[in-house]
Amino acid sequence: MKRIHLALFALALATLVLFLFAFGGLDGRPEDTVMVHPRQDALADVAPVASSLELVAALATQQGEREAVPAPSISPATELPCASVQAELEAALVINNEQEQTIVELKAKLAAAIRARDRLTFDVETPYGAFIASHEAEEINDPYSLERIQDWLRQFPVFLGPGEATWIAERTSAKDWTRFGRTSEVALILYLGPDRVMSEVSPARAAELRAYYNDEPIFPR
Amino acid sequence: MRSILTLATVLLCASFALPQATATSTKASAKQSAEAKPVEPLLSLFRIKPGDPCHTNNDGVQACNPAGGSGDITIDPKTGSASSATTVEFKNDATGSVTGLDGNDTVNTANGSNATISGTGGTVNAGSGSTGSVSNTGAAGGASITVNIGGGSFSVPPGATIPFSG
Repeated sequence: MKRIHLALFALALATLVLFLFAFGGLDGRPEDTVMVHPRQDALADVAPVASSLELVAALATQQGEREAVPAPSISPATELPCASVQAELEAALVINNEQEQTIVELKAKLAAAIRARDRLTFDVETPYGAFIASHEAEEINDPYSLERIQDWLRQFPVFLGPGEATWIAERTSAKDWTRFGRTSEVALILYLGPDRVMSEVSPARAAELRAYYNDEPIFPR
Repeated sequence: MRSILTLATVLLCASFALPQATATSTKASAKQSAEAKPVEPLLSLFRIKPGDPCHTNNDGVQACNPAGGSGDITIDPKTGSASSATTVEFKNDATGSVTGLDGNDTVNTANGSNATISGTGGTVNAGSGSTGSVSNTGAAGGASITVNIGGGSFSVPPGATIPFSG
Protein backbone atom coordinates (compact mmCIF):
# COMPACT_ATOMS: atom_id res chain seq x y z
CA MET A 1 0.00 0.00 0.00
CA LYS A 2 2.82 2.28 0.93
CA ARG A 3 4.48 1.45 -2.41
CA ILE A 4 1.36 2.47 -4.32
CA HIS A 5 1.31 5.76 -2.50
CA LEU A 6 4.95 6.38 -3.29
CA ALA A 7 4.39 5.54 -6.96
CA LEU A 8 1.41 7.90 -7.19
CA PHE A 9 3.44 10.64 -5.54
CA ALA A 10 6.31 10.17 -7.99
CA LEU A 11 3.89 10.19 -10.94
CA ALA A 12 2.29 13.41 -9.73
CA LEU A 13 5.69 15.02 -9.25
CA ALA A 14 6.81 14.00 -12.75
CA THR A 15 3.59 15.40 -14.28
CA LEU A 16 4.14 18.69 -12.46
CA VAL A 17 7.75 18.97 -13.68
CA LEU A 18 6.68 18.13 -17.23
CA PHE A 19 3.93 20.76 -17.08
CA LEU A 20 6.34 23.43 -15.86
CA PHE A 21 8.82 22.65 -18.63
CA ALA A 22 6.15 22.62 -21.30
CA PHE A 23 4.78 26.02 -20.41
CA GLY A 24 8.13 27.69 -19.74
CA GLY A 25 7.86 28.03 -16.01
CA LEU A 26 11.34 26.67 -15.30
CA ASP A 27 13.49 28.50 -17.86
CA GLY A 28 13.06 31.89 -16.31
CA ARG A 29 11.14 33.27 -19.33
CA PRO A 30 7.70 34.77 -18.79
CA GLU A 31 4.97 32.65 -20.38
CA ASP A 32 3.62 35.43 -22.58
CA THR A 33 7.02 36.53 -23.95
CA VAL A 34 6.96 36.90 -27.74
CA MET A 35 10.31 36.06 -29.33
CA VAL A 36 11.45 38.91 -31.55
CA HIS A 37 13.75 38.02 -34.41
CA PRO A 38 16.97 40.07 -34.28
CA ARG A 39 16.30 41.28 -37.83
CA GLN A 40 12.89 42.59 -36.74
CA ASP A 41 14.60 44.51 -33.92
CA ALA A 42 16.91 46.09 -36.45
CA LEU A 43 14.00 47.02 -38.68
CA ALA A 44 12.23 48.71 -35.80
CA ASP A 45 15.30 50.93 -35.21
CA VAL A 46 15.39 52.18 -38.79
CA ALA A 47 11.63 52.51 -39.25
CA PRO A 48 11.60 56.32 -39.69
CA VAL A 49 13.87 56.09 -42.78
CA ALA A 50 11.91 57.28 -45.82
CA SER A 51 12.65 55.12 -48.88
CA SER A 52 13.03 51.35 -49.04
CA LEU A 53 16.55 51.73 -50.54
CA GLU A 54 17.62 53.79 -47.57
CA LEU A 55 15.97 51.24 -45.31
CA VAL A 56 18.03 48.42 -46.80
CA ALA A 57 21.22 50.48 -46.69
CA ALA A 58 20.65 51.43 -43.08
CA LEU A 59 19.86 47.84 -42.13
CA ALA A 60 22.97 46.50 -43.88
CA THR A 61 25.21 49.12 -42.23
CA GLN A 62 23.73 48.44 -38.83
CA GLN A 63 24.35 44.71 -39.10
CA GLY A 64 27.98 45.23 -40.04
CA GLU A 65 27.40 43.97 -43.55
CA ARG A 66 28.50 45.53 -46.83
CA GLU A 67 27.29 48.99 -47.80
CA ALA A 68 24.11 48.95 -49.92
CA VAL A 69 24.78 50.02 -53.48
CA PRO A 70 22.06 52.08 -55.14
CA ALA A 71 20.54 50.50 -58.26
CA PRO A 72 22.32 51.83 -61.37
CA SER A 73 20.23 53.81 -63.77
CA ILE A 74 20.22 52.24 -67.27
CA SER A 75 20.91 54.70 -70.03
CA PRO A 76 19.67 54.09 -73.61
CA ALA A 77 23.34 53.91 -74.72
CA THR A 78 23.90 50.90 -72.44
CA GLU A 79 20.60 49.28 -73.44
CA LEU A 80 21.44 49.35 -77.17
CA PRO A 81 24.32 46.78 -77.21
CA CYS A 82 22.13 44.47 -75.09
CA ALA A 83 19.47 44.35 -77.78
CA SER A 84 21.99 43.76 -80.55
CA VAL A 85 23.73 40.91 -78.65
CA GLN A 86 20.34 39.36 -77.93
CA ALA A 87 19.48 39.50 -81.61
CA GLU A 88 22.84 37.89 -82.42
CA LEU A 89 22.17 35.12 -79.87
CA GLU A 90 18.71 34.44 -81.28
CA ALA A 91 20.14 34.20 -84.81
CA ALA A 92 22.80 31.73 -83.54
CA LEU A 93 20.09 29.63 -81.87
CA VAL A 94 18.13 29.47 -85.13
CA ILE A 95 21.29 28.31 -86.97
CA ASN A 96 21.97 25.80 -84.18
CA ASN A 97 18.45 24.33 -84.43
CA GLU A 98 18.80 24.06 -88.20
CA GLN A 99 22.17 22.32 -87.83
CA GLU A 100 20.77 19.90 -85.26
CA GLN A 101 18.03 18.98 -87.72
CA THR A 102 20.64 18.53 -90.46
CA ILE A 103 22.67 16.25 -88.13
CA VAL A 104 19.59 14.09 -87.44
CA GLU A 105 18.87 13.81 -91.17
CA LEU A 106 22.50 12.98 -92.03
CA LYS A 107 22.63 10.35 -89.26
CA ALA A 108 19.50 8.71 -90.66
CA LYS A 109 21.00 8.84 -94.15
CA LEU A 110 24.26 7.29 -92.95
CA ALA A 111 22.38 4.58 -91.00
CA ALA A 112 20.43 3.72 -94.18
CA ALA A 113 23.69 3.52 -96.14
CA ILE A 114 25.24 1.24 -93.47
CA ARG A 115 22.16 -1.02 -93.56
CA ALA A 116 22.30 -1.24 -97.36
CA ARG A 117 26.05 -1.98 -97.32
CA ASP A 118 25.87 -4.55 -94.51
CA ARG A 119 22.88 -6.37 -96.07
CA LEU A 120 25.13 -7.05 -99.03
CA THR A 121 28.14 -7.93 -96.88
CA PHE A 122 26.74 -10.09 -94.07
CA ASP A 123 25.09 -13.48 -94.40
CA VAL A 124 21.62 -13.67 -92.84
CA GLU A 125 22.71 -16.94 -91.24
CA THR A 126 25.04 -14.93 -88.95
CA PRO A 127 23.73 -13.04 -85.88
CA TYR A 128 24.55 -9.57 -87.26
CA GLY A 129 23.40 -10.50 -90.76
CA ALA A 130 20.06 -11.65 -89.37
CA PHE A 131 19.70 -8.45 -87.36
CA ILE A 132 20.62 -6.04 -90.17
CA ALA A 133 18.11 -7.75 -92.46
CA SER A 134 15.32 -7.35 -89.87
CA HIS A 135 12.63 -4.65 -89.70
CA GLU A 136 14.00 -3.66 -86.28
CA ALA A 137 17.25 -2.49 -87.91
CA GLU A 138 15.16 -0.02 -89.99
CA GLU A 139 14.07 1.68 -86.77
CA ILE A 140 17.61 2.30 -85.54
CA ASN A 141 18.72 5.50 -87.25
CA ASP A 142 21.88 6.06 -85.24
CA PRO A 143 24.99 4.86 -87.15
CA TYR A 144 27.00 4.58 -83.92
CA SER A 145 24.37 2.26 -82.40
CA LEU A 146 24.44 0.06 -85.51
CA GLU A 147 28.23 -0.09 -85.23
CA ARG A 148 28.00 -1.02 -81.54
CA ILE A 149 25.44 -3.76 -82.24
CA GLN A 150 27.74 -5.19 -84.89
CA ASP A 151 30.67 -5.09 -82.46
CA TRP A 152 28.69 -6.71 -79.63
CA LEU A 153 27.48 -9.47 -81.94
CA ARG A 154 31.07 -10.08 -83.04
CA GLN A 155 32.05 -10.57 -79.40
CA PHE A 156 28.84 -12.37 -78.39
CA PRO A 157 27.50 -14.10 -81.51
CA VAL A 158 23.90 -14.53 -80.35
CA PHE A 159 20.82 -14.32 -82.59
CA LEU A 160 18.81 -11.40 -81.24
CA GLY A 161 15.11 -11.65 -80.51
CA PRO A 162 12.51 -8.89 -81.09
CA GLY A 163 13.30 -5.70 -79.19
CA GLU A 164 16.77 -6.79 -78.09
CA ALA A 165 18.67 -4.70 -80.65
CA THR A 166 16.54 -1.69 -79.70
CA TRP A 167 17.48 -2.23 -76.04
CA ILE A 168 21.19 -2.31 -76.95
CA ALA A 169 20.79 0.84 -79.07
CA GLU A 170 19.01 2.59 -76.19
CA ARG A 171 21.82 1.69 -73.74
CA THR A 172 24.41 2.85 -76.29
CA SER A 173 22.72 6.25 -76.62
CA ALA A 174 21.93 6.68 -72.91
CA LYS A 175 25.30 5.26 -71.73
CA ASP A 176 23.45 3.79 -68.74
CA TRP A 177 24.80 0.23 -68.91
CA THR A 178 25.76 0.20 -65.25
CA ARG A 179 22.08 0.38 -64.29
CA PHE A 180 21.90 -3.22 -65.47
CA GLY A 181 25.33 -4.65 -64.63
CA ARG A 182 28.78 -3.90 -63.23
CA THR A 183 30.07 -3.10 -66.73
CA SER A 184 28.49 -2.80 -70.17
CA GLU A 185 29.67 -6.33 -70.96
CA VAL A 186 28.14 -7.79 -67.80
CA ALA A 187 24.91 -5.85 -68.45
CA LEU A 188 24.70 -7.31 -71.96
CA ILE A 189 25.40 -10.87 -70.76
CA LEU A 190 22.74 -10.57 -68.04
CA TYR A 191 20.24 -9.06 -70.51
CA LEU A 192 20.77 -11.73 -73.16
CA GLY A 193 20.90 -14.47 -70.52
CA PRO A 194 24.13 -16.17 -69.42
CA ASP A 195 22.80 -19.66 -70.35
CA ARG A 196 21.87 -18.46 -73.82
CA VAL A 197 25.26 -16.77 -74.32
CA MET A 198 27.05 -19.96 -73.22
CA SER A 199 24.98 -22.14 -75.54
CA GLU A 200 25.29 -19.89 -78.62
CA VAL A 201 28.96 -18.82 -78.56
CA SER A 202 31.81 -21.13 -79.62
CA PRO A 203 33.23 -23.51 -76.98
CA ALA A 204 36.52 -21.57 -77.01
CA ARG A 205 34.73 -18.27 -76.41
CA ALA A 206 32.58 -19.88 -73.72
CA ALA A 207 35.70 -21.12 -71.92
CA GLU A 208 37.31 -17.69 -72.23
CA LEU A 209 34.25 -15.96 -70.77
CA ARG A 210 33.96 -18.53 -67.98
CA ALA A 211 37.62 -18.02 -67.05
CA TYR A 212 37.33 -14.22 -67.16
CA TYR A 213 34.26 -14.14 -64.92
CA ASN A 214 35.48 -17.01 -62.74
CA ASP A 215 35.15 -14.99 -59.51
CA GLU A 216 31.75 -13.53 -60.34
CA PRO A 217 28.45 -15.44 -60.22
CA ILE A 218 27.53 -14.68 -63.84
CA PHE A 219 27.75 -17.96 -65.72
CA PRO A 220 26.10 -21.18 -64.55
CA ARG A 221 28.46 -23.84 -63.23
CA MET B 1 4.71 -25.86 -13.63
CA ARG B 2 8.48 -25.77 -13.25
CA SER B 3 8.89 -28.90 -15.35
CA ILE B 4 6.80 -27.40 -18.19
CA LEU B 5 9.00 -24.32 -18.07
CA THR B 6 12.15 -26.47 -18.20
CA LEU B 7 10.73 -28.40 -21.16
CA ALA B 8 9.94 -25.18 -23.02
CA THR B 9 13.49 -23.91 -22.40
CA VAL B 10 15.00 -27.14 -23.68
CA LEU B 11 12.82 -27.05 -26.81
CA LEU B 12 13.73 -23.42 -27.43
CA CYS B 13 17.44 -24.16 -27.11
CA ALA B 14 17.07 -27.12 -29.43
CA SER B 15 15.26 -25.05 -32.04
CA PHE B 16 18.23 -22.65 -32.10
CA ALA B 17 20.90 -25.34 -32.10
CA LEU B 18 19.40 -27.66 -34.77
CA PRO B 19 19.57 -25.36 -37.84
CA GLN B 20 23.17 -24.44 -36.95
CA ALA B 21 24.16 -28.08 -36.84
CA THR B 22 22.41 -28.68 -40.19
CA ALA B 23 24.12 -25.63 -41.70
CA THR B 24 27.52 -26.85 -40.53
CA SER B 25 26.98 -30.27 -42.09
CA THR B 26 25.69 -28.66 -45.36
CA LYS B 27 28.73 -26.37 -45.44
CA ALA B 28 31.01 -29.35 -44.92
CA SER B 29 29.41 -31.30 -47.77
CA ALA B 30 29.50 -28.20 -50.03
CA LYS B 31 33.20 -27.79 -49.25
CA GLN B 32 33.76 -31.45 -50.14
CA SER B 33 31.97 -31.05 -53.49
CA ALA B 34 33.90 -27.83 -54.19
CA GLU B 35 37.14 -29.65 -53.53
CA ALA B 36 36.06 -32.38 -55.92
CA LYS B 37 35.42 -29.86 -58.74
CA PRO B 38 38.16 -29.31 -61.33
CA VAL B 39 40.20 -26.15 -60.79
CA GLU B 40 39.21 -23.29 -63.13
CA PRO B 41 42.00 -22.02 -65.38
CA LEU B 42 43.66 -18.99 -63.84
CA LEU B 43 44.08 -15.87 -65.92
CA SER B 44 47.63 -14.62 -66.36
CA LEU B 45 46.28 -11.13 -66.76
CA PHE B 46 45.12 -8.91 -63.93
CA ARG B 47 41.67 -7.41 -64.10
CA ILE B 48 41.11 -3.87 -62.83
CA LYS B 49 37.43 -3.11 -62.28
CA PRO B 50 36.10 0.48 -62.28
CA GLY B 51 36.96 2.01 -58.90
CA ASP B 52 39.74 -0.49 -58.08
CA PRO B 53 43.17 0.85 -57.09
CA CYS B 54 45.66 1.45 -59.92
CA HIS B 55 47.95 -1.47 -60.66
CA THR B 56 51.63 -1.23 -61.57
CA ASN B 57 53.62 -4.25 -62.74
CA ASN B 58 57.37 -4.78 -62.57
CA ASP B 59 57.66 -3.51 -66.16
CA GLY B 60 56.72 -0.08 -64.79
CA VAL B 61 53.37 0.01 -66.61
CA GLN B 62 50.57 1.41 -64.52
CA ALA B 63 46.88 1.10 -65.42
CA CYS B 64 44.12 2.96 -63.62
CA ASN B 65 40.37 2.43 -63.90
CA PRO B 66 38.65 5.13 -61.83
CA ALA B 67 35.10 4.72 -60.54
CA GLY B 68 32.34 5.75 -62.91
CA GLY B 69 33.55 3.82 -65.96
CA SER B 70 31.53 1.03 -67.55
CA GLY B 71 34.27 -1.42 -68.44
CA ASP B 72 37.22 -3.36 -67.05
CA ILE B 73 40.87 -2.77 -67.88
CA THR B 74 43.28 -5.72 -67.90
CA ILE B 75 47.04 -5.70 -67.52
CA ASP B 76 49.13 -8.68 -68.58
CA PRO B 77 51.38 -9.77 -66.95
CA LYS B 78 50.16 -8.87 -63.53
CA THR B 79 53.71 -8.90 -62.08
CA GLY B 80 56.26 -9.61 -64.82
CA SER B 81 59.74 -8.12 -64.92
CA ALA B 82 61.48 -4.98 -66.16
CA SER B 83 61.75 -6.50 -69.65
CA SER B 84 58.17 -7.82 -69.91
CA ALA B 85 56.10 -7.14 -72.99
CA THR B 86 53.09 -5.73 -71.17
CA THR B 87 49.64 -5.61 -72.77
CA VAL B 88 46.96 -3.35 -71.36
CA GLU B 89 43.46 -3.88 -72.67
CA PHE B 90 40.55 -1.46 -72.38
CA LYS B 91 37.36 -3.54 -72.52
CA ASN B 92 34.12 -2.13 -73.97
CA ASP B 93 33.22 1.26 -72.48
CA ALA B 94 36.23 1.38 -70.11
CA THR B 95 37.59 4.79 -69.16
CA GLY B 96 41.05 5.08 -67.67
CA SER B 97 44.74 5.74 -68.07
CA VAL B 98 48.01 3.96 -68.76
CA THR B 99 51.44 5.33 -67.87
CA GLY B 100 54.95 3.94 -68.26
CA LEU B 101 54.44 2.42 -71.71
CA ASP B 102 57.74 1.55 -73.39
CA GLY B 103 59.12 -0.09 -76.54
CA ASN B 104 57.68 -3.59 -76.30
CA ASP B 105 54.37 -2.72 -74.62
CA THR B 106 50.92 -2.55 -76.20
CA VAL B 107 47.59 -0.94 -75.39
CA ASN B 108 44.39 -2.18 -77.06
CA THR B 109 41.20 -0.16 -76.82
CA ALA B 110 37.73 -1.57 -77.44
CA ASN B 111 34.52 0.08 -78.60
CA GLY B 112 33.22 2.89 -76.41
CA SER B 113 36.41 3.11 -74.36
CA ASN B 114 38.38 6.24 -73.56
CA ALA B 115 42.11 5.89 -72.86
CA THR B 116 44.68 8.41 -71.74
CA ILE B 117 48.04 6.85 -72.56
CA SER B 118 51.56 8.05 -71.86
CA GLY B 119 55.02 6.57 -72.15
CA THR B 120 58.24 6.56 -74.07
CA GLY B 121 57.42 3.98 -76.75
CA GLY B 122 55.22 1.04 -77.67
CA THR B 123 52.09 0.51 -79.71
CA VAL B 124 48.49 1.58 -79.31
CA ASN B 125 45.83 -0.35 -81.23
CA ALA B 126 42.82 1.95 -81.18
CA GLY B 127 39.67 -0.09 -81.80
CA SER B 128 36.73 1.35 -83.70
CA GLY B 129 34.53 3.52 -81.52
CA SER B 130 37.29 4.22 -79.00
CA THR B 131 38.73 7.62 -78.15
CA GLY B 132 41.60 9.04 -76.13
CA SER B 133 45.02 10.59 -76.33
CA VAL B 134 48.62 9.42 -76.53
CA SER B 135 51.48 11.39 -74.96
CA ASN B 136 55.11 10.63 -75.58
CA THR B 137 57.04 11.68 -72.47
CA GLY B 138 60.42 10.57 -73.83
CA ALA B 139 63.40 12.88 -74.35
CA ALA B 140 63.97 14.47 -77.74
CA GLY B 141 65.51 12.03 -80.17
CA GLY B 142 63.89 9.08 -78.42
CA ALA B 143 61.49 6.47 -79.75
CA SER B 144 58.00 7.26 -81.03
CA ILE B 145 54.75 5.64 -79.98
CA THR B 146 52.90 3.99 -82.87
CA VAL B 147 49.13 4.32 -83.02
CA ASN B 148 47.27 1.88 -85.29
CA ILE B 149 43.82 3.14 -86.09
CA GLY B 150 41.20 2.43 -88.76
CA GLY B 151 43.57 0.44 -90.97
CA GLY B 152 46.26 3.14 -90.89
CA SER B 153 48.81 4.32 -88.35
CA PHE B 154 50.59 7.42 -87.09
CA SER B 155 53.55 8.12 -84.82
CA VAL B 156 53.66 10.21 -81.68
CA PRO B 157 57.17 11.70 -81.35
CA PRO B 158 58.79 12.60 -77.98
CA GLY B 159 57.18 15.63 -76.38
CA ALA B 160 53.96 15.35 -78.39
CA THR B 161 50.40 14.59 -77.31
CA ILE B 162 47.96 13.47 -80.00
CA PRO B 163 44.26 12.71 -79.50
CA PHE B 164 42.69 9.81 -81.40
CA SER B 165 39.16 8.73 -82.28
CA GLY B 166 38.74 5.26 -83.70
